[in-house]
Amino acid sequence: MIQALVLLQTVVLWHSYRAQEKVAIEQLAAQWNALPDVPRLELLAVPYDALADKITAAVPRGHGPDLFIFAHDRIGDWAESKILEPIEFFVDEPLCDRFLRKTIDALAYGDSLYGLPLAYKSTALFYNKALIARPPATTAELYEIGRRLTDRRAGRFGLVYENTRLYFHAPFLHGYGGEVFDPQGRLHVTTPEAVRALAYARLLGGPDGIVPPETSGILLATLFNEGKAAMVVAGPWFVGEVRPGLSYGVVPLPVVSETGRRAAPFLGVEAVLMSARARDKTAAFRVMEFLTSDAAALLRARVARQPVANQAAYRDGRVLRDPILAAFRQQLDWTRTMPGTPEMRMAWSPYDMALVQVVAFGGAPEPALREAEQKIQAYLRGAGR
Amino acid sequence: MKLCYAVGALAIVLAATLGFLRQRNQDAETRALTQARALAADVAARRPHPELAFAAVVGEPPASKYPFLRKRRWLLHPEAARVGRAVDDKDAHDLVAQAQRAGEVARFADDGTLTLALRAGGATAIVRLRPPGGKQPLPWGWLLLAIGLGGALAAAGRGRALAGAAGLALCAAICATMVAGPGSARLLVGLAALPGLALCWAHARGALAGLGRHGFAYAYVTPAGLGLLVLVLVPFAVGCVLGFFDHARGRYTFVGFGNFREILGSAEFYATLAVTIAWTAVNVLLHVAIGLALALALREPWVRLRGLFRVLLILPWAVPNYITALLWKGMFHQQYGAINTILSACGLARVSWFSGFVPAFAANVVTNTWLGFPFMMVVCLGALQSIPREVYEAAAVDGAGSVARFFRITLPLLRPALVPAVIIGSIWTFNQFNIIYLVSEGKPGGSTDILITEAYRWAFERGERYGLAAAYGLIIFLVLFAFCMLATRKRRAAEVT
Repeated sequence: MIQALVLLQTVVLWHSYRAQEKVAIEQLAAQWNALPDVPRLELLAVPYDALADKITAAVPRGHGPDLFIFAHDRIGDWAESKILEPIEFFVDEPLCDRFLRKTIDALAYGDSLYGLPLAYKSTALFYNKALIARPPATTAELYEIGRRLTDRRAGRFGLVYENTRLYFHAPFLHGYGGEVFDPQGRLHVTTPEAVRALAYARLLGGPDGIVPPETSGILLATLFNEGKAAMVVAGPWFVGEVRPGLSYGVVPLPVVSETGRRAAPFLGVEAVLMSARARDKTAAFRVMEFLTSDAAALLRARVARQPVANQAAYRDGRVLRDPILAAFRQQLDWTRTMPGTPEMRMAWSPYDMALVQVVAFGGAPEPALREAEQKIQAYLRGAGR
Repeated sequence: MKLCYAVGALAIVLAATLGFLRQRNQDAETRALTQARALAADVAARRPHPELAFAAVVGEPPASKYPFLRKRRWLLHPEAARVGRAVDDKDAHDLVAQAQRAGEVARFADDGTLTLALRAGGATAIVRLRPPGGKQPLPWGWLLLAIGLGGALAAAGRGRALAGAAGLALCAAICATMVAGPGSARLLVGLAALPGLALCWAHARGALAGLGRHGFAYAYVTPAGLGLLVLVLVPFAVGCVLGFFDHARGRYTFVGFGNFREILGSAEFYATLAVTIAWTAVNVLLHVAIGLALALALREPWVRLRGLFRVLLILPWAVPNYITALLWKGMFHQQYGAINTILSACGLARVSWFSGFVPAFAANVVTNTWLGFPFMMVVCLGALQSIPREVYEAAAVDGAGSVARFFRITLPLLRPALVPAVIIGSIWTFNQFNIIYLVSEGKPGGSTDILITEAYRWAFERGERYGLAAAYGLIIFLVLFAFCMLATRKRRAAEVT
C-alpha cells in the first residue's frame, strides 16, 4: 500500500541528453529530489534516434513516461495523435514571459500549448580563426573568402555544410525570401526566390565552388578539426565535436547580398513535453516549471553551454561573456521557426532530392523544385491532407 | 479438425456475448447523452440544476498576448452568476476548449460518469452526471455456465463431422441474430445455440484425447511454439490486418484493398520491383560464382595455409553488416573515399558513385557481394567434402578433362546443397534493408531503393502511412512465397528425373 503510494508520486522523464547536457539535467533532478514534499523525479536516458519512435509506440499503450524532452517539430504529429497533453490550463502570462517569445510560440499548435521551452537550436557560422581574420558579413564575401581558401587538390575547402539537406540549405532559402510553406500553411515550393537560393547553393557546391561533395556530419567535423575546412555551418551540438585547442569563432550567418536579408536558419526548440497519459498531471507540470525556471536555465547554460530559452539567463554576466551563447542568441533573431506540422515532415526528403539533383549533379533548379513540390503534394494527398 | 470446431464454437459464443453487451452499452450511452444534452442546454440558458454535482457556463476569455492563453477561460457557476472563478479541473477545461471548436464533446469515464460540453446559443455549458446503470460487465458466470452445459451435452452424445459443421453454421446464424436482432429476442436465441455448441464439443474430445497421448512431445514443442507465436505469427497477423487499414493522426480506418490498389496502380512500384529483382539476381549470381570459385580453389592440394584463408574469407560474414555497409559507404566517397583515391592514383577519373543509377547500384552490389559470398563459400566447401574422390578418379581414368569433371560431376552433386542456399540467399538479398539504406540511401532520387526500403520510407519518412507499409510487406511476402513455391517445385521435379 505504502509502496503503491510512493510509486504514484514518481514523475518519469525521458531525455536523450549526453555529455555535459546530461550532467546538467542530472544535477537539476538531484536538486528537485532534495526539495521537501515533491514527487520523485526519475530520469531515463534514451538514445535520440530511438526516442521519437519509442514515444509514438509506448504512450498510446500507457507505457510511456510522464514527461519527455524533444524538439518542437514533432508537436503537430503528436498533438493530433493525442500523445501530448495540452498544458495551457496550468500556464499564465507571467510564466510565459520567462521565455524568449519565439521559443514559447514554437510550442503552440492549433491554439493550444504543448510544452515549456528548455533551449533553442539553429545553425550559425563557425570559422577557424587561424585561417580567417574577419568572418564574412555577406554571401558575396562568403564566396570570395571561400574561393581564396579552397584547394580541391589538397582537399581544402572554404566552406563545409551538408548542402544536400534542406535543414542546412534553409538559411539561404529564407535569405533569398523563399519558403517551403507559406504563413497560412500552404505548400509554396516553386518560387523565383527558391530558384535563386538553389542556384546559389549550386554555385557554392559546383566545380567553381567552395563546398566539397557528399558532405556528412562526420566528414564536416573531421575537416574542420584538421584545418581543411575554413568555415562550417553547424549548430550548438557541434561545439562538443571541435578538437580542444582549435581556435574558432561563431557568428550569425551572413546577409544575402542580392536581397539584403539575413540568411535565416530553421529554429528548433527543445522542450519538455507532457504525455497525454501522464499519471499525475499537476505533479508533472510542477517538474516542468522547475526545469524551465530561471535558476535551472542558468545552470544549464553554465554547465552545458546550452542556448537556453529564458530571457533572464542573457542578463547574467557569465552567460553574456560566453561568445558561443552570445552568437546563437544573436542568430535567434534571424531564424525561421521550423513548422511543427505533420505536413513539414513530409517535405524533407523530396526537398533533399531536389537539392541532390541541383547541387550535386548540376541540374536546373526550377524543374527539380517542381518535381519536389509534386512529390510533397502526392504525400500530402496520400496522408489525407 | 475437431479442435477447430470446438475453438470456432467458443469464439462464436464469445463474440455473440460481446456484441450483445456492446449493443446494450450503446443504447445506455445514447440515453445518457440525450439526457446530458438537455441538461447542458438548460445550464447554457442559465437555468440552475442544483442536483448536478458539476455544471458551469463558460464566460468570455481573458485578453492575452499569447493566443494559446485565450483558451484559459473563466467559468461561472449558473447558481452564482456574479462569482467568477477559474475551472480547477483540467479535464473540464480541456473539454470546454474542444467543444468550442467542435460544437459538442462528450467523455465517459471508466466509472460510467459522463461529462458533456456543449455550445448552445452563444455560450458553452459543461455538465457532469452519473447515468443510472453504467456499463455492463461481461457476464462471466453465464458464459462459463453455457460452456459447461455444452460440455455436458457433448459427453452424452457422439457427433459426426457433418453435424459438427452444421452446429457451427447454426452458431454463426444465432450469433448474427444476437448482434443485429432486436433486444429481447437475443437472450432466447443465445440459449438455443447450446445444442450447436454441444455438437462441436463432442468433436473436440477426440483431438483432446490425442493431446493426452502425446503429452510429452507437445510439452517439448511448446517453448519453441510460443516463441514462434509471439515473435512471428502475431506480428505477421497484425501486419496482414494492418495492410487493410489507413493510418492518419493516430487513428486507423478500414480501407479494404485501397492500399493495394494504390501500390499496384503506381508506376513507381513496378520500377522498384524491377530494381529489387535485378538486385537479387545480380547479387545471388555473384555470391554463388565467387563462393563456388573460392571453395574450389581452397580444395586444391597446392594451396598452403588453407585454414587461415578459410578464416579470412569467412571474416566479412562475421562482421555486423551495418558496420561493413558504413565502411564501404566511406570508401565510395567522391572526395575522400579509398576507391576514388586509388582510381585517381592510377590516373583514372574519379567516379561520383551516388550520382547515377548504375554506379550507385554497383556500389550497393559490391558491398553486398562482399557480405554475401562467404555464406555460399561455406555451403560449397561443406558440399564438396561429401563428393567422393573415387568419382573423380574414375572420371579421370575415363579421360574426362577438368572442365568436363566440373560440369558433369561437381555441379550436379553440389546441386542438392546449393539450391536451398540459393533460395535462402535470394530471400535475404530481396529484403537486404541495411545495405540499401546505409550505402546508397536510395540515391539518386530513390532510384536504387528496393521494396523493403520503400516500405520503410512510407512508414517513417512520408507521413506515418503504416497501413501502406504493411501492404508493401504483404506484397513482398507474396512475391517471395510464389518464388519459393516455384523453386521448390522445380527442385522436386529435378530430383525425380
